[in-house]
Amino acid sequence: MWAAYGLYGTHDDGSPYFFGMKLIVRRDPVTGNVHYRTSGRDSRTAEWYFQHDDPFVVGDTKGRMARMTTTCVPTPGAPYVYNIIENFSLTVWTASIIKSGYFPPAAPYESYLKSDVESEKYNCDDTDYTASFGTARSHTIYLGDSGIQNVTMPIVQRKYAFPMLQWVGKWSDY
Amino acid sequence: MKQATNKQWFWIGLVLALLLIPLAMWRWNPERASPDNVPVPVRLRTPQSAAQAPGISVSEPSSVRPETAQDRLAEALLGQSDTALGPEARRLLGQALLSLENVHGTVRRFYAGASPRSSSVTVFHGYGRVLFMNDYTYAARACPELDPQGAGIAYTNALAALDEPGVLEAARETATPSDLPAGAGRLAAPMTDMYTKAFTGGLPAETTQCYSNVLAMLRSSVPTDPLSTDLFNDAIIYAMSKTEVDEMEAESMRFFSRVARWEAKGQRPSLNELEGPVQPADLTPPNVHASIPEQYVRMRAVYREIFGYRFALNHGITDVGFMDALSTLTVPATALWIHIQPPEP
Repeated sequence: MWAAYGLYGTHDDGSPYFFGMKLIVRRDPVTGNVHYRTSGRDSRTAEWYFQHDDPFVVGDTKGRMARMTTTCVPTPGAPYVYNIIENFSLTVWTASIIKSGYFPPAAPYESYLKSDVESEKYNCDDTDYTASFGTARSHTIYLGDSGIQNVTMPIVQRKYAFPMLQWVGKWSDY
Repeated sequence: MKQATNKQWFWIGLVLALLLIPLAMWRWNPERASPDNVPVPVRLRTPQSAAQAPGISVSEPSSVRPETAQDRLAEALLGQSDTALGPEARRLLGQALLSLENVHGTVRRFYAGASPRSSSVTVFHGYGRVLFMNDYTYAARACPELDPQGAGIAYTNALAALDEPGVLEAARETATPSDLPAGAGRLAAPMTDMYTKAFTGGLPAETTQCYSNVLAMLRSSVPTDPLSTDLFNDAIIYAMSKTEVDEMEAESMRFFSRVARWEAKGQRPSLNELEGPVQPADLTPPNVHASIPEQYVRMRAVYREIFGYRFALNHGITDVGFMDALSTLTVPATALWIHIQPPEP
């Protein structure tokens, strides 16, 4: 889910000018491609409505997803507020574990997930809110032996790289 | 004329050798010379359908020309009029094609003015493909005369066959349900290891509980064993797809409700609050236009149409109460990717 909303100044009659956009992610069961449906927002009544159904590119071109919130108030006191909120979780399936190789992992078999992450900072003083990217680092998530889990990424305010690395063995293997 | 020196002869020879060696390697390449390695072109479209295209004439002996509707269907899907196909295999293929046509027809009806890039249409067409591949894989499991690895080519042929005249009529003729009892509209194919493993192992407890609910509901309403055919698989995919739509709608409504609350209090957005427990106000947030819930209503209707047709055609279940009872069950979509995908050959 990705959404941006807030106040964009005022109308001519002084009433607040709302804006908003929400994207719902849906995956194609065949290709795994991500599709988005867009919701818009009425600028006067702040009412959300269904906008359109076409694919829409979100964020940077690497297709990264994040768990983050951003709030920009460019001019203190002025009626301009810009909020971004993005959230996602993963369904991970661990099964058909192959215990082989020169050094097969000893039981209990534990599965781990790892991804490169990237911090992203918005400069609210820029009119286009251009993001600047920080250093990348990795993080290991414990998954357990086997089964299906819904994983919520533990670190917020980061963008996660896909596809993530999933392996069976020790946490220090990768 | 000045005589060429030894040094010049050396350079002339080197240049000639550099030209001639690749030429010789190309000329006497054993892989190229052997007639055994000439690639055979894959024939996706049949000579019969090619002959129907304008401007192409294919001379074909009349002995192999398909004569019956069953032959025409087998030729359209498999690329050959295979006389070795049994009646059950033909019936399963006909059902698969009709199911695919129903998915496309339903999407055309419910998304009449939608753009061709519409994500809903794309996802539903993906469903049509997955269901066809599931049907073909099931048919190959039940009838050994079918090639288990031909699902992809059969789907390509089926897409073309949807526009060919006469093929759908042949499929309807072939797939007409006979006088079988409800739930036994298909030849029984016991579950393979792949399905059994996915149904029993590695699932969270609540998912297993939901599967048990679906299985109990099927056993109470269908006289035959739901696990002997792909009836249970169809029911699970329908329940999971419907649950996914429900979850998407609840997630949207919760977000709109939270935004209204944050803005009223002048708060910043908060991930913890967004993922917090559902509150009564989240279900009907005040500032949502009717077009938001309408799209979810439409998605549920499309799923119900697609699977209601499958339950009637494939399993002989035409009871409206069956779909109502199945629609009340929820199955978390955590296992969608296992059950919806047929095993890779």
